[in-house]
Amino acid sequence: MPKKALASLTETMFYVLMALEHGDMCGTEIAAFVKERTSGRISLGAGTLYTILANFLEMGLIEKKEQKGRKITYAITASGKERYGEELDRLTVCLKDAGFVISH
Amino acid sequence: METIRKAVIFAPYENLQLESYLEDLARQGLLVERMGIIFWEFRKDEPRNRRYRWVLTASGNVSGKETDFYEEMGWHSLEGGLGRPLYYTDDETVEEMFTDPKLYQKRMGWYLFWSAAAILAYFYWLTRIILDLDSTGHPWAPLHLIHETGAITLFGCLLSLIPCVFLFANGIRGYAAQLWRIGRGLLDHPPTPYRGRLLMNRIMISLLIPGLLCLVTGGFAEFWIDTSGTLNFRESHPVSLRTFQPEAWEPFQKYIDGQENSEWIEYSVEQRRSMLFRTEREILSQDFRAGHELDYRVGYYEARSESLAHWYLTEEFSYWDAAASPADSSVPVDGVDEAYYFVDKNKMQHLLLRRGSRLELVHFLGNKALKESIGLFSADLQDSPVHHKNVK
Repeated sequence: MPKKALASLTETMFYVLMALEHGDMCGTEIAAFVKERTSGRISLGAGTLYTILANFLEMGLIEKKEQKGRKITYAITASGKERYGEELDRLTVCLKDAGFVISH
Repeated sequence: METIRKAVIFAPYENLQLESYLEDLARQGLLVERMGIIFWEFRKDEPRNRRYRWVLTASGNVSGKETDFYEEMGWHSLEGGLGRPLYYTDDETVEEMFTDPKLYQKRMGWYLFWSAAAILAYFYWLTRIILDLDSTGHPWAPLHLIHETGAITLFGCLLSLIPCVFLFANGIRGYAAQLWRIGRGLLDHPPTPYRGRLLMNRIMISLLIPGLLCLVTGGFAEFWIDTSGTLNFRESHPVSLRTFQPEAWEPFQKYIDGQENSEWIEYSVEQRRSMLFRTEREILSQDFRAGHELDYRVGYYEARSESLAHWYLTEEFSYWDAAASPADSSVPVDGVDEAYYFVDKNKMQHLLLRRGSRLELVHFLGNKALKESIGLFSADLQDSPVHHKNVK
């Protein structure tokens, strides 16, 4: 049975994809990027990040780019870019709808 | 490097207690050097604020890749422990292991499922004798051992029963608390009182280990315990095939004399065995001979009490033929308290006799009516020892 596709990404997952869309990164770099972008609002624990990266690898949204000892560098794939774009569009529409409600 | 050993006993649902305990020790300058199953090694070092985190998984293990990832992120793994992936960090800037409640809930789903399954299986194992779900086989659960005649195994049963029940009750409470925290997305690791829990766990393990040793010892009692002094009928022995059906004995005798005949086997023994399992008895003597058209088994038993002997007797019905019942199979026999005769669906005849706490159980597949020889077998159950001639 194929793994169920992600309906929508959680906020944490979205930011991990964002980090890799920005550039190839290892685990610590991803965690640092997300913390900086969100001004500390989102923290990525080792267990959480590993779970997200393992899921993304399984779904083909990211791939292992390079490994030096324990350190693995990840890169976003074409599927990952597409998924990230879809999520960005969805959030943009949500924001637009929210702006309409506020203005009215 | 100076190390000391401590008994560290916490269940998987006591991860917060374990972490608090180890962190308190770290503040006193005792750092985990190596995890054991019960005894852990601690080395003396500078006191520090170290964080320990027990990563709970359904399988009890964390893959090497995952550990490597944690090492990269600032968490260091500890060796040993048998299914206890424990990590530590002295760096307060390192983020907690799990920071996303929803992802953690997903990850913990399988862990809680298997934990609940284990608890239910444990409950079933503990209580099946009460529920009477299975009257045959070797259940090997503590409560079954109340029928144990050997004092050492009875003592072991009681000794290990207390921690078994405690562990079950504590397990229910502990997993429920864990489920509650996971359900509410609580990922924090607050300082948690552990002294009482650790003391109770140490006491329970102290009861459980000797209790299990007693049980194992009792299981091998026949090899080292001389119980001949406790036998009432030392010289009693069941009716042999030679006495019961001499014409069947003759072809068997030919086999005994050395002629090869793989269709015949013999098993005749006088022994004293402790009743360890529910379906085992204290066997004083038995005779068992089988061939392609003959199956003759007779055993003479002594139970610990009359009620137990009656219970073992009734077990024979479900063991041999679930369709037979004591009410339908009762036969009047002088000198015994209970007597039953029935033929099962495989045409094997069964004669079950009880006098007090003594049993004589006869199972015969052959061309002779067992019912005609009831007196021969019931004589074995009388007070005086009965000697049968020409018994092999």
